[in-house]
Amino acid sequence: MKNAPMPDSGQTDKPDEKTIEQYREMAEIAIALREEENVSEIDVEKELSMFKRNLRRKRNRRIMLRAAAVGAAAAVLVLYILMPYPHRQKNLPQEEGIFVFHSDTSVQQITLQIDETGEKIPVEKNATEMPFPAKVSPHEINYTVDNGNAPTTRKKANTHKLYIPRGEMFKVVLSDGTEVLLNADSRLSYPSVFKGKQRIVALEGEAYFNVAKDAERPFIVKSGALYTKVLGTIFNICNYNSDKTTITLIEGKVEISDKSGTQRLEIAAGEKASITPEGIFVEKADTNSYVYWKEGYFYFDDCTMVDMMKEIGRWYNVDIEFRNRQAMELRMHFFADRREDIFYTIQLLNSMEKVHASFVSGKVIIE
Amino acid sequence: MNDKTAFDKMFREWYAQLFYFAYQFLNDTEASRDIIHDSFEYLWRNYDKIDERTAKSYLYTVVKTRCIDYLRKASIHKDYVEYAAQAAERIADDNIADDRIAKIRTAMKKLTPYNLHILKECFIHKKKYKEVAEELNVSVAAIHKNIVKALRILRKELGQEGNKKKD
Repeated sequence: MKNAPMPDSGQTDKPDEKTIEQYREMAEIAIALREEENVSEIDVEKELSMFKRNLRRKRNRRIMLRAAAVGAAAAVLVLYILMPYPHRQKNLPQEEGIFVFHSDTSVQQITLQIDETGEKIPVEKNATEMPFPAKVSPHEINYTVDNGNAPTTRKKANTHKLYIPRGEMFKVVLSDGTEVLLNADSRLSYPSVFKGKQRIVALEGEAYFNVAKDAERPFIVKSGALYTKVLGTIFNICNYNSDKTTITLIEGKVEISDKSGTQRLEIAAGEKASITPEGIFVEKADTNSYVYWKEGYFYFDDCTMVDMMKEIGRWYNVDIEFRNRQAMELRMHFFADRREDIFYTIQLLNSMEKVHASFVSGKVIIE
Repeated sequence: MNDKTAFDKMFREWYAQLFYFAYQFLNDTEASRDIIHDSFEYLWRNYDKIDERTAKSYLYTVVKTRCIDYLRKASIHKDYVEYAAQAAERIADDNIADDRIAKIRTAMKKLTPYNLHILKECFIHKKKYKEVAEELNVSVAAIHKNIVKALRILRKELGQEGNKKKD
């Protein structure tokens, strides 16, 4: 409120007419000027879709979960919804400065490992010399295209594992034509050629899958405690948090289960499912909001500061330190272009006027 | 009203104006945004009961009330809250009655770029006359004169309504 004009009249009980009129005239002109110039850069269409989304979300909160196969987990789940984040709050250390995310000081580059014993080959430098049939460029590997390299090992299936560092994205087209877009700080392992009755890959991190249809050979993604089985569909899987893997289904139908296969259920387009140590939870979701990352955006809808800052730390590979405990649990809407540098993002965050963040010597500090 | 496409139209038409109305008093982007979204939600939920012709006054009334509530709850100087509340009431009422803000926007087109620049510096960026004078390398009196002139043009375009007191 620092800029709010203070009328200079000394009277407190009855504001005098002249001052009110003066203030009113100035205010009207300021409103008109701001609207004319759109000083706050309002995007009405974005606000409208945000508005609709929030309406839906509030409605969904009431409907919530129809965790069909998870009878026992239901009771736990109700608690989980009624008391969001209780465990996190009480475990906060007392001292000033809480680090919630740490930067990784190793060399950040995209690498490929062939079989578990192989060394990690930097993809960018060796793009044209990979010892297997595929077209490799700095941001994509395509196994459906033969580059003519390595004629002797042709069609031999090896296990390949891709390592995507922070701040990068990478696309893989698998030998069956399935497209996988890997988000930063993720790893995907898969056979260079799919053989046998199933197509099996394993994911750590986050990825967007567009699975090629093949009714004969189901496609299976193993990620954390979640197994996902599909025939051909589009979905996003995220398990940055080791205790929780979330799948968001954009199109089609998938079957999910835990590792042992004792809990098994089907989810449909427009739903997301999370698996945690407490069980599997299914809910309706605005699925698009989960895949803004692939278009190059940070998108947080009613997200806690702490989760949001971890995501930002992961992309820019910086330490995140909170010096204000209350700020950690603040919930925010935030939308930003992650192709911008960290200074820009921090500035944008500060312009929301909820917290003060600064970027000092490789570390983001939130006060 | 039973046609919800009309709702979208209203949202598009009034969102920005209501936002800047709230922002004028709260000076806080997020708080203003929250209030506008809440107010539209209120409209949405009571949509069946509201006549399309009164929807705007409904919205303005909800936004105004929430802004004043917000100011009262925030630790803001009591004097300012009283002035702001009174001014907000009047601006809301007049704008419901005859689109004052839209008229001012039209009237502003009559100002010279120089007039407009000075108005913006003083009214939007809240600079002091002295600062603006230094930036433009003119006297404080010249800035004052320029503002008076701009206001006179605006009032004239608005048919002197700018000077009229509310009864």
